[in-house]
Amino acid sequence: MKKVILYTILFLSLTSIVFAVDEDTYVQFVADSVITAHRLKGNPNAMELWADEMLKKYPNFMSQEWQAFEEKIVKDSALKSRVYNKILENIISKGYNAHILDLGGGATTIEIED
Amino acid sequence: MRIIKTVFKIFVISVILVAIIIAGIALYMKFYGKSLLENALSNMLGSKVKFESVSLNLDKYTVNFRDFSILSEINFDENILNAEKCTLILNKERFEKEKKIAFEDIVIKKGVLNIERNKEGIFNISYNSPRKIDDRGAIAYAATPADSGGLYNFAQNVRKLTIKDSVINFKDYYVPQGPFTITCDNFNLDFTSGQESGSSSDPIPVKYTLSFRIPNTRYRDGEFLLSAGMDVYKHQVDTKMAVETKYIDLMQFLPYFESYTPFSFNTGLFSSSTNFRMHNNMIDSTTTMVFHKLNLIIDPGMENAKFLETSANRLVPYLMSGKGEIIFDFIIKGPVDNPRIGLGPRLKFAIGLVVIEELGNFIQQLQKLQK
Repeated sequence: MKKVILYTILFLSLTSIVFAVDEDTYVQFVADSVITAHRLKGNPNAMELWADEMLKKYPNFMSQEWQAFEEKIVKDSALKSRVYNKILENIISKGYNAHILDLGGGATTIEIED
Repeated sequence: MRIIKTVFKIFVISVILVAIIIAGIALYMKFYGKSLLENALSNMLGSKVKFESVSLNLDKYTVNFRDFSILSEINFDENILNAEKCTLILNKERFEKEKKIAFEDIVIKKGVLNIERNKEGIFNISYNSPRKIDDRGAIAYAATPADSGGLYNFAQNVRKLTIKDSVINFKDYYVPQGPFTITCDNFNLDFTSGQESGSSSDPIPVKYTLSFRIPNTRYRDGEFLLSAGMDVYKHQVDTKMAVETKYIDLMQFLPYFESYTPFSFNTGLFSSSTNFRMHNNMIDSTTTMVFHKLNLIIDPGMENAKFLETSANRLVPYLMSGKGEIIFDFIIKGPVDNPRIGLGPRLKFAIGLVVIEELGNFIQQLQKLQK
């Protein structure tokens, strides 16, 4: 019985490691996503190419739980502001000229200038 | 000699009498027979019917009408249908065995279908609902139209309906700044219903194709093509439908955009492809629209115009087809009486690439596609 419980705890902790998204991972991923999407603007196969490039950088991103972290951010405006500014800094540090833009209706974009 | 004269007189009188009787029958048929037939057809269709002349071919169970019309009920400008020629071929077997009228084939050539919506938002065609036939006589309509869905009865009583080389005129008094009018030509319809199984719980299989063209003086003509298969039950219809449109000019429908959306167009054509499925009254439909030469204008003073404009401009680069066209998709899902309209996969991807808060949704969409 103890073995079963131990294995269950081990399994749960392993799956939580696989699926959970922490702040740093989120910041890095979104920054790379925005940069990749910017480079693919106007390309008719943008979504397929975006997925290919992101898979190369983040092989497990398809099995990670992004929405849970997003929900956390949306509910906490201080956290949202901090995370989005970190994403912006990350993009700028890679040589891009970018800014945060509030689209209204709770939608935000980070725009990279051409 | 007197006898010969008398016989001759009797002969002449008899000929005159026969002539009078024949002329009387002809006159009766001319003045009353036509209206009797018009009344019978009106009852059968549930709409007032008129025609100029009729000819019968009893061997082939065929009735040909010239200048055949289905009239609008009240307060509408035009008849619902005017057709130069309408041919009805009766189902001989059902007529002889069951003494019931069902149609093997209905062919309408060079018809004009006038669809009109009045200021109250009511269509002329919705006024005309089938009525139950008085079946005290020996011949009755094969199905009683009032007992279930109109389509089931139609499919039961009409094996084939063909409309050729016809025109649709649409006039809408309901839209603000109306009346809006549009004419579609080259209207063709092929409707075929299969055999009933004998059990009333089984569906009647139906297939139909419908096509028409929307003439355009500025660009190429718009096209519409629909092909569908249906299982028609008494109280339900299961259907699979494919609808294709090509080069429909948005400017021709400008009054609708101006009245019901916060945007309109300077120029714009669209083509679309819809796969529509309805099973057990649940709808599942995906539509992909391709816009050509699109020039969107956001109406001034609209509350969310800024949001729409900034968002639309940012989404467009991710909705390009590579030929200067913009691709937009949406889905319709849910119960037939309360369906939901949602974003299609392509639009979800574009939003996910632009709006940070939607990235998770976008990845979820990718995961779904991979499964």
